[in-house]
Amino acid sequence: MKVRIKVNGVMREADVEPRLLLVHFLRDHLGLTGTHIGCDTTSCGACAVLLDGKAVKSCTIFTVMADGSSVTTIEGLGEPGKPHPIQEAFIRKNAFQCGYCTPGMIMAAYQLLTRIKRPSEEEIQEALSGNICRCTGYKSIVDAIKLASKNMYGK
Amino acid sequence: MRSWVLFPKEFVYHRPNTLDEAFELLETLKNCKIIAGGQSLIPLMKLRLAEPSHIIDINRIPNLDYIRQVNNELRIGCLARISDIENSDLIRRTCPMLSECASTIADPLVRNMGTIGGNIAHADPNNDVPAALLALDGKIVAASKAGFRIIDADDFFLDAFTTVLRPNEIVKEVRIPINQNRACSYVKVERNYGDYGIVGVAVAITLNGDICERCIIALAGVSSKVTKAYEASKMIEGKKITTMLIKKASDIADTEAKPVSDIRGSEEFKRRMIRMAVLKALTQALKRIRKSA
Repeated sequence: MKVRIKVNGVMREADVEPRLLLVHFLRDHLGLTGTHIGCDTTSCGACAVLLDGKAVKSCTIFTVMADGSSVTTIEGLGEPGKPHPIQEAFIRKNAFQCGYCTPGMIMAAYQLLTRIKRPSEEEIQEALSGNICRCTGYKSIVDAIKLASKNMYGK
Repeated sequence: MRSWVLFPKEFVYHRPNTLDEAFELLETLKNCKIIAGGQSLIPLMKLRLAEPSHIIDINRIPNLDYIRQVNNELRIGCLARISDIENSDLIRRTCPMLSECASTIADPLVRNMGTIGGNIAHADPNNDVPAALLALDGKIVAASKAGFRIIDADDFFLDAFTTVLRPNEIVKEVRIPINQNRACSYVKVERNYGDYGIVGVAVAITLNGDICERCIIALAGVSSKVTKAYEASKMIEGKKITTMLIKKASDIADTEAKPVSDIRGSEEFKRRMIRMAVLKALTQALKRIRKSA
C-alpha cells in the first residue's frame, strides 16, 4: 500500500506491506536508526516517536496507520552541533550510559514539556512510566528533564 | 524483514472513511478485526496469538472521538483516546472516577493511542474500563448495518476476551449516567507502571443522608471477566456507613473473585490484594462524600 508520511519535516513516500511496523519503516526503509527496538512487546519505550505531536510506541503502530500523518523521531530534535535543550540537558546531567533507552526517554520528555512547562518530580516520573532504563537508575534522567524545563521556560 | 524481530502474519488492510463503509466490511469479510489504537491487538498479532486475515482501520472515521454531556448522561465516542479521557475537564467534573481509572491504564504513550472502545471490545479480564463501567451503571452502544442496540455493561462482558458483541457490530459509544449523589473511587494494584494489574477496583457509593442507598464494587483482573463483589456490597447497602463497616465489607470483598496464581502472585496474595484495594477504594469514596457534605 502506498503511504505518504511527513518524517522530521520531510515528506516521504513508500509502498509498504500493511504489516510493516512504523519502527521498521523508520529504521530500515528511511535509515533513521535513532529509534530503537528494545523489547518489541510495547513495554520499554525505546521506540517512542511523536505521531502528530503525541508520543507513541512505534513498535506498536502499523506504518499504514500513520499514512498522511507527521512523525518526529529523535533525529528531528535539534541538529548535530545544535542540540535541542532536552538533549543538552541529558548531556549535562549524564542522563545516559548505554544510550539505548535515550531516544525514547527524550521523546517522552519532549511531550511532557509541551504539556507541562515546569513539571514536578512526580509529573516527570509519571511521564516516563512507559520508558524503561537499565543503566541510570532514572535519577539523572529526571534531573535532566528538570534542567531542560528550567532552561526552556525559565524560573 | 529480519528474523529476530516480531511482526504479524500478512493481512489485507482496509480503511473505511465512514461508519457505513465499516459496517459493510464487517458484513462481508471473514476473519476480520477492527483496529483503533491497536495497543492490545498489535502486540497479540506480533506474537501471532491473533492472525486476522483482514484489518479494518476505523481511525479515519470522523466524529467518533467525542466526549460530551447530553442531558444527564456522559456520552463518549469509541475513538476517544484513554489519554483524552484521563485529561477531560468534563469527565473530571461529572465523573472523576472514570478519569482516575483511565490514568491507571498502561503508560502515557500507550494511553495516547488506546481507545475506550477498544478497551471495552477487547475485554481482556485485566482491562480497567469494564470495571469502571459496571460501577457507574454504564451502557454500551453497539452499532451495525442493521442499526444499533444499547447494552447494560452488566450484560456486556461474558468471559475472557468475550462479549455479547456480534461479529458485524462495533462498539460505537459509551454512556454513563451523571449522578452527583454518588462518590466513587478507582484503585489499581500493580507491581509497576504499565504492568498488567494484580487487581483493579471500582467502587460507587450512593448516599441518602447518612445511609448507603447503593454500593457497587467491581473487580478487574481477578476472574475470567470483570466481577462484582456482591457480598461486600450487600453488607454496606441500607446501613449507615462507618469505617468499621467498610473494613468488615472489605474482608469479604474477594468472595466472588477467582484469582489465579501466576507470575504476579499466588491466589492467596491476590485475595489479600483485593481486600486491601477494596478497603482503600471504599475509604477514598467515603472521604469524598464527607468532603462534599
